[in-house]
Amino acid sequence: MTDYIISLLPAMLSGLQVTLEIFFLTLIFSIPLGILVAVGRLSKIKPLVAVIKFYIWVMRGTPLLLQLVFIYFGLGLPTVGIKLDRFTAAMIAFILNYAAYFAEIFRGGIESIDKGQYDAAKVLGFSQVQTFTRIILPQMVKIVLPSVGNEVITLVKDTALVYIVGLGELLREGRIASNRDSSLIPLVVVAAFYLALTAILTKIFQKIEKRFAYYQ
Amino acid sequence: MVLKVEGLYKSFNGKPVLKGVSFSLQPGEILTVIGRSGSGKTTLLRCINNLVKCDRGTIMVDGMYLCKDNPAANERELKTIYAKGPEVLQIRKRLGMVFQNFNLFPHMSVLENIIEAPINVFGVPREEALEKAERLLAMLELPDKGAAYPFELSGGQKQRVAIARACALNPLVMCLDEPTSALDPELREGIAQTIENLAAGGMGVLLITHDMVFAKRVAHRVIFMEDGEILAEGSKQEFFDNIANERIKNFIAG
Repeated sequence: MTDYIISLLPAMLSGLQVTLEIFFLTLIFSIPLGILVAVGRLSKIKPLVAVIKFYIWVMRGTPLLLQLVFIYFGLGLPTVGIKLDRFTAAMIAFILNYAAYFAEIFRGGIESIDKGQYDAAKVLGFSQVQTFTRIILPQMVKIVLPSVGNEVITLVKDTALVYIVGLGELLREGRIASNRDSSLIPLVVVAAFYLALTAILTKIFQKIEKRFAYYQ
Repeated sequence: MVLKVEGLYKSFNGKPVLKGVSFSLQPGEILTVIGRSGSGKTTLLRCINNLVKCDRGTIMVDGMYLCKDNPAANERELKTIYAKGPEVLQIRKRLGMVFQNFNLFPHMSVLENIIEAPINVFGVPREEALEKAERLLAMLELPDKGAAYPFELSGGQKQRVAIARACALNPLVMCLDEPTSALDPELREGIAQTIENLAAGGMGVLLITHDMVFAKRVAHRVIFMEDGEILAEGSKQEFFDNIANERIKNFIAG
């Protein structure tokens, strides 16, 4: 049994690597993009607000799985002819989808900050950019941390969706081994990997939240 | 004269809130604007601090115009000329503002609240800003609170931090919005003395309140506002001794 699990590890670890790549790349790009989208959504530029509302509506209103299929297979159809490689297609779908969710979380965070903070910043002479980066953004981070934590944990599990475009992440490696060996064990090992990842992330977010507990 | 306001008009959605307000403030003077809520006194303060743009009128701080009537304007020109970014910044430096709810930055310590703008907006060297902040905290009897965060402070302490923050750039005019409204009554005397100290140091103090007891205690001169207009104005003595206007009488009688 132990020998069998050890024999599974090389494939599982390569699957884990793909899972982690998708996970981290999605976070690295979708969080800053989400901030920009949130700022745009809160701007007074009406056409921009309309475009962003539409984007958020589509991204949150359709399954991520459909978005993946659309970007990889749909755009790749001869009639459209935008053939992306699997990984790029998966990344585009994930980043666009998660940026939309993050944007809504950030918007809520920004809107919940007392208007008096803007007044105070203004009378002290802060520029709009300084007000955002020094006063609003740091306070927003604390407010949105629990929601971002939830999203991040959902993201770990959502990475499994990329199996649809044929990327060899954790779940796909598990299924291959499970089918090949007619065994449940590879799936249990996969579950253990996901549980470990989410446990680590939960801990990390607890730490970060604690670090922001210095003020109220 | 450190502050002059002349013919100030402001309306929101067609509803006039200020209808030609004029007054001036001398260095070392405590001028109290009293009136009911909705009389336009908060809007007046927000116009002076450029938090809202007035529709028309003149606001001059230490000889610099935040906005200025242009009597020679023809049909196509603006009747009021507004200061541009760098001028506004110079005016902000000369104006301190203490908000009703203080609006301290909760994520910054007391010291950071005070030094943030001097360092990052006005380029004051960190050492110098810190030294000034420490001096202000000592003056306001908060010498050991520099590292504290706003949530750890009482209402009165928060207010003194807000005053320290507003004083950090040596303003010539200090504006206070309802300074007693968020305080326990027994703290009134303390804030009155703080305000008197500021004025004694040469600052012009403009404070708005509907707290008559406090106005009587601290004011040198009083302005009574109603419906966006100044109904009466005078030294404290004149004002409280000869109240002829029925509406002011009613207001003061509560």
